[in-house]
Amino acid sequence: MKTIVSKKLKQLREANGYTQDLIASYLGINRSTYSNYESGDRETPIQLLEKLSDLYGCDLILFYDEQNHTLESILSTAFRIDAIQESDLNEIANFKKAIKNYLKMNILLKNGSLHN
Amino acid sequence: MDRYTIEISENIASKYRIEWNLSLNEAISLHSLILKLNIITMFRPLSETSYGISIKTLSGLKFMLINSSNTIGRQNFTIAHELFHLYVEKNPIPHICSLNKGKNNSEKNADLFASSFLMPKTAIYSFLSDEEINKKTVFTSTTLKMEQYFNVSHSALIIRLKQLKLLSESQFNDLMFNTQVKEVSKSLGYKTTLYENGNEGLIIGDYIEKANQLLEQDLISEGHHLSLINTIFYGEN
Repeated sequence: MKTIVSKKLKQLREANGYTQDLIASYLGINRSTYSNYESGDRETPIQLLEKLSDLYGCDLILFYDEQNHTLESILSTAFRIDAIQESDLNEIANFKKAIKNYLKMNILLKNGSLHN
Repeated sequence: MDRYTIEISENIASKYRIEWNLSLNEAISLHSLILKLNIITMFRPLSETSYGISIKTLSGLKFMLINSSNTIGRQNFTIAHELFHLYVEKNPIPHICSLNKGKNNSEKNADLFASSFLMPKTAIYSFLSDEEINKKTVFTSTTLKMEQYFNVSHSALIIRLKQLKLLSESQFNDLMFNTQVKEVSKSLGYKTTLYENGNEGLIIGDYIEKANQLLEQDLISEGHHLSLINTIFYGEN
């Protein structure tokens, strides 16, 4: 059964132009297992969602957020990758994580907290 | 996006040189420029055919990832290419710029911009003798001198000379496929770093400064600070 998480998995993967094979390989799992996460047949472990949030440059909470406004802003900075090398995915995820960190540091320095 | 002519790319490149307070003929120190523009830039090893990625957030913050496995000359061209995506393109679609990617107009225009921006026409001409201009024959020694001056790769320089119609077809092929560039450059006393990879782990921009400020202001723990630093230096959590 489709869940919010499974729908978001598919939306984010497609917006970034990745195949299921590539994502499964990045996560270190079989493609069929990953496919079950997207179809909602199996629950996605949180450690894998954390790894994907780095790759997509979004917060973990986005996978559980029913509102789509955050998703829209993420999608507007999504990569269109036509010729990605599998070996580059970890560096790309790390780059996006650094960007995410930087945006959070800006909020912290401005507000003194992430929640103001 | 329409494809630019050489003239259009020259005009846009000049406009940005003026905007960034660079004179129209000087060689550009790209690391100084991206530091001044505060583009957070990470130099990390990617596969050989990947060049770089840039991202502009909705609020206008800018980020680049440059492949440290490419030669320094190639890296410089990539930085100029990414500047096009970040500044000239109105609505850039983030993507990885690579050798394998079929080049659409946006990629071709970014290459043309990088070429004109790094190697202005009048600056190129200032290196050429009358004989070279008239005979459409640029000596190898002149090409190597220009590469050193502009800090670009041999192929970027040769393609630029061809764009400006300063090379015949046969000379273009001879120069483009010269496999001895590094050796000849060394024999002329030039540094060869342009033709070598490097910069792995280099960070430009105020990411680390911000992390340090947060720690000093007790807004984050030492553990959190370490994790922020490790992410940008080593790709670790």
